Amino acid sequence: MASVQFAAATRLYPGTHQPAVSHLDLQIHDGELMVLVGPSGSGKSTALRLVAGLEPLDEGAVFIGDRDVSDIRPRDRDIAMVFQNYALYPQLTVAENMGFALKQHKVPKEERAARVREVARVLGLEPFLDRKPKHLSGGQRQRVAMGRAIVRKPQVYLMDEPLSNLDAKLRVQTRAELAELQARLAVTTVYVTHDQVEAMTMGHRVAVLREGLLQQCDTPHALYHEPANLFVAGFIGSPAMNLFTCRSDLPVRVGDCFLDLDAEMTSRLSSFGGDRIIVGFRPEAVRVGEGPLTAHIRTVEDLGSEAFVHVAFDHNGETVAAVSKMPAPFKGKTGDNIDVQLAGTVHAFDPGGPRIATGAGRFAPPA
Amino acid sequence: MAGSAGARLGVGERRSVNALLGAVAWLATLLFFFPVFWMVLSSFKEEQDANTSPKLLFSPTLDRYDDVTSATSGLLSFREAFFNSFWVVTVSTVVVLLLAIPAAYALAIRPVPKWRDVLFFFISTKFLPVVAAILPLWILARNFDLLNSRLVLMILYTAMNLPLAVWMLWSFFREIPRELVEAAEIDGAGLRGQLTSVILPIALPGLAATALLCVIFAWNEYFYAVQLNPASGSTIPIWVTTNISTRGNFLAKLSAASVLACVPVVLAGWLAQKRMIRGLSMGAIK
Repeated sequence: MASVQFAAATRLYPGTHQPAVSHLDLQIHDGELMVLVGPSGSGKSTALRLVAGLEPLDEGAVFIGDRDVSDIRPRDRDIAMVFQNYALYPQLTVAENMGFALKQHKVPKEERAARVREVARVLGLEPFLDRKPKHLSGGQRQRVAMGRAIVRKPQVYLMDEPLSNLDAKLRVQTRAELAELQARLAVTTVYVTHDQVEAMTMGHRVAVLREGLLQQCDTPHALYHEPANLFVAGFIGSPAMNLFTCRSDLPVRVGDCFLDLDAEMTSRLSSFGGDRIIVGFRPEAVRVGEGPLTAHIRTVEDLGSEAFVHVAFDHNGETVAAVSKMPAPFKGKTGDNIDVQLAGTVHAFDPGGPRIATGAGRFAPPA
Repeated sequence: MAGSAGARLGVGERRSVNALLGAVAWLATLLFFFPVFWMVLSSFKEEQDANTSPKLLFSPTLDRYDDVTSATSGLLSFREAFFNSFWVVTVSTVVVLLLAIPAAYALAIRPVPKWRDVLFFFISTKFLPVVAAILPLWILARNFDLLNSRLVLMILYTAMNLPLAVWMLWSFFREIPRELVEAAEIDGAGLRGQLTSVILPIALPGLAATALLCVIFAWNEYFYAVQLNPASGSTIPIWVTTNISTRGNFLAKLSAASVLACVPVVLAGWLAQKRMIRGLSMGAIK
């Protein structure tokens, strides 16, 4: 087991002008499950491939443990990778697939068979050892791909969207199993996904990437409650954070109400130089039913346990949308006029991106 | 045709169109097959039957096969020609595959810079008419003392089939998911391991199709053979022509020789049919 470190790692694909990964500095601790998350084209898969050695570095370095592996071949890096499409060798049986790497590393046949059997037992794959991948279900193939990685006992696991080909129910189940397995094996894991729920539930820490640049790397809790910038605020959380462009003069106005902010936030905003800010608050901070802001309901999504109430109101002369997370059942219906209150954390962002302040806030009626 | 543009054909009309298309297909097939059929038929006839007015009813005989396979001193025998062809075809096909596999790997799986130009260069070597190259080839062969040797044909057939084999294998290798090769690489397989454990087993139908086409082209080649090796070291197509004589009737004998020349490739094609069709359509199936 070992740590993984990106040191100003940069990868520029030939024929492109913008690096897929740009000066990435990231330290992944020994035994940690680090999730790289971001929209497509964010460079998360490229970053993973840099660790695997499947992409060359244009600048910087990648370390596994104390060893600079930047110029070391993939097979000499002591890593195992799980691919999105599993990449099982179609002509080999499950047992041969799982034992392939051991065979390449000249592990004696008996030891190989014993290790494959042991991992197959843990993953419940024993009945399928003699089958070819084409005769397995999607979930079973995913397990074989996992087994192929585990059986090697590598220093680092690299996982490239390993659950994205599973159906929703199986994905949730496998997600939990995978997190449990990783905790038990305590092997450093770099996990790439575009699914923020996967990122938040599995990662010890989560690194959010956008256009090759690291936006924030922190615990899921910190990412959610203290997003470093506008992008992270909008990307993490479902439904997404409500964001409104406002004038930065105090008191800040949202719709026809003022924002009543706590003292610390007020003082931070008063020292902000720009004339505009972006105000953001999570759907669970929006209470629908009473409050000083008047809005009308656009649609209600009832999920059974909770309801997402989408409302619209006038703000700076245009109609803007907001979403509230309310307990179900929710009584209102589309077209109803309704009062809205803010009861929770409010974030303020520089329109250029960085977060300026976070604090408690509520709507106050116009004076 | 139905009246207005875009109108659909009725069931009856569709049926008659299908019947017509079927009849045309049969006619075309018969047109292509008839000369072959006639050749096979003639090979079982007496010379005078083969040369006189065509008739379907005759008493078949294997004598012409005896005639063409029994060795005549001073002439290229069937046995000699067969083994010459066998060695030339086998060696050239094996060498072609040995060279084409790594070339196709470098173009499809780990593309070298300017791989498109390289690929075009390979096929462009086929643009030059063979007849335009034959004089320099003949001079080279003479200078290296290779005229009338099997080696000159092995070298030329390798060169002749290599571009085609690289193109075919390139298209088959391209179908192999990149992740499989990467997985093998991470699992510790070197270049040879990747080829033998992952790429070749998956591309086996394509490999078989490529090998078979190389065999067929090399087996059937006549022009180089007649120019550079017309003597005793020569191949089956040359042997077939030795059965043409300036005097007397030779049609039945020539037919028997032609049938013998066709048998190995037809047999190989038939045996490899399933593989080959899968191989040739590999690019079409996702």
